[in-house]
Amino acid sequence: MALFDAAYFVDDIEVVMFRHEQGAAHAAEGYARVAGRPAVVAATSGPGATNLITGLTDAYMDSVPVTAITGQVATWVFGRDGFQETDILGVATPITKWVYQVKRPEEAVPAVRIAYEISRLGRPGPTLVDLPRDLQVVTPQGEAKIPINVSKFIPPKPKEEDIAKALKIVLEAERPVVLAGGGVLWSGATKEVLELAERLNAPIVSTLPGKAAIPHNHPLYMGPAGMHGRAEADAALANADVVIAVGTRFSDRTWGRFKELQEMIRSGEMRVVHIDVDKSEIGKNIKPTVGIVADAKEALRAMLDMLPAAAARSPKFLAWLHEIRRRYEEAMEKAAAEFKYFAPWKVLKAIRRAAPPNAITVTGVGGHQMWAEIWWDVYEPGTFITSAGLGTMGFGIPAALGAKLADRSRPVICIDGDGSFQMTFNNLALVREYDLPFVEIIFDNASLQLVKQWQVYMYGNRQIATRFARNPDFIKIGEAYGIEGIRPSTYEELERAVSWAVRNNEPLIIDVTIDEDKDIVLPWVKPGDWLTQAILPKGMEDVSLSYERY
Amino acid sequence: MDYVGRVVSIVRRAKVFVRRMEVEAKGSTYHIVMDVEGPTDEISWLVAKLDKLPEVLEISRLQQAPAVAIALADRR
Repeated sequence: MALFDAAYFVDDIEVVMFRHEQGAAHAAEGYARVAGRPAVVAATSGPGATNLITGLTDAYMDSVPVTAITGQVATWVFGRDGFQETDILGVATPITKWVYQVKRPEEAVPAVRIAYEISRLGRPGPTLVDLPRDLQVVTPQGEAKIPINVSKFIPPKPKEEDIAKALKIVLEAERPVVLAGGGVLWSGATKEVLELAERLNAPIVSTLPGKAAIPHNHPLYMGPAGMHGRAEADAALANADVVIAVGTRFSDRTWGRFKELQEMIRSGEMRVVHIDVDKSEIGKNIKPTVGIVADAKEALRAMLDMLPAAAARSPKFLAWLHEIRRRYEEAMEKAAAEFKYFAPWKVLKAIRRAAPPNAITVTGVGGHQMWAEIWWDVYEPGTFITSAGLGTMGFGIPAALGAKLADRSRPVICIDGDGSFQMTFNNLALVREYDLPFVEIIFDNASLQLVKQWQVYMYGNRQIATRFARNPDFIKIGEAYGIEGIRPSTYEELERAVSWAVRNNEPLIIDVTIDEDKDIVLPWVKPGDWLTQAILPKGMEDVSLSYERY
Repeated sequence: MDYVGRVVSIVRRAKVFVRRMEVEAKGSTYHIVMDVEGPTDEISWLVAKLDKLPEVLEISRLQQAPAVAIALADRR
């Protein structure tokens, strides 16, 4: 209470009141990803604080700078189960970069300052400061020194010997592949990644967060790899002899399983150069041939400065990858004809045609998100925002609001699912209240499609707790919040609606009916499978993702 | 003990067996000494992960294997 009361007297703090603390935390993530600096999210003690936790965990998993301030019961009630008391320090400890409970009024200002600083330094992440109620009303006598070492978050310079080792490997490679993770975006290393790939004539593959870092119209970009990656990207990664992995944590979602990867590295069949700002990521999931602890942009620049003109590589590998892409897109075009209503990937193409290149796209979590991973084209770095590591349903709407708060001049489009929508749509109240228009497109398949897909393939088609027997009328929900809505019947109508909303900076809800029985996201690397075992769509039965068999 | 709790939270996620863990307040810092058993790479990861905590002022792997010593800032 006292903290917000103080904000009443401060003009340069804009307080935005979300309808649920989880939404506020996701909005802070959306804001940070567009603005490139942390937003501060504040909540009351107990349930307010615990409601932030999903958002903070999401920020932790995707390395997003967010600073949280939570209220706490008075210090004299500590540990006595006071009203709305939660040990938020204990709860937030494993999911924050730094957490601090203020025990003296003199610690409050430095604690918030340090928390803000730590959240953005080095590998970004969430921080939390817990402010007991009684300390909020005491005037501090100066500032206490909080004895911590913040300088350890400043990225070290890349070691010359590591760069030299990496270059030797790269120059010897026949099929080098650059793997771009989310760290490329935070480091601002897109230009260096593209230059390295161009000089090596190497395909670029990304993780899901790294998708936002690479312009998709670049001829060397193969798309994201992994569980629901592009077939050509899975093929590139699995068949590379050298992988230059930048700003990525070697997630199981990108690699399928580590057994093949580790064996390939051990046998020398594949060599890996891993560049990451976080030293605890080097060797965490796989032991690279060379590990470089440094900021991605600096490390890549150092490599580029020392890279001699590379010998021309055979174009055969790239040609093979492009042929896989052609076959996949051909197969999906045929598959679309079998849909009675809308095919998700064609919906994405229609939206993309209507949205300007600088439009910020946010997704929910589920089947629509995976379709977006495969099919949404990013043209400008930083314009694709998704919940990758934690996979938080309900992320879309509040993150879209946060993105719009960070930059009101750009259109914001939320690619959402009917399941995700129903988790956080209460935050639509902010659209008119704070004038934050965005286009909400609901991929409405009346189910939790991605979970259902697992049930179909992995649980003998026993579908339970994944179908919505009766969905609410999403258009009427929009009306309740003063937002227009449509239910298009053709791709042209959909495209026109998105164009209209973007052109007029108007909010709009678009309810797109998807054939739920045909909505299976492919390619799919089933959990525990290797990348070359990806299930491909009908019509690609003769396509192998193993280079030897080509 | 907030900082000690942060250390424990990381140690419990490492694939190591903690044989001994001693915490002692010395002047303005907490000193923690741990004997852990596990793969070398896993212990290296644990040390790197602990060293990421801003409240860890110093960390070293002791000669008598396998042990880790940590100096933590005091939070009393």
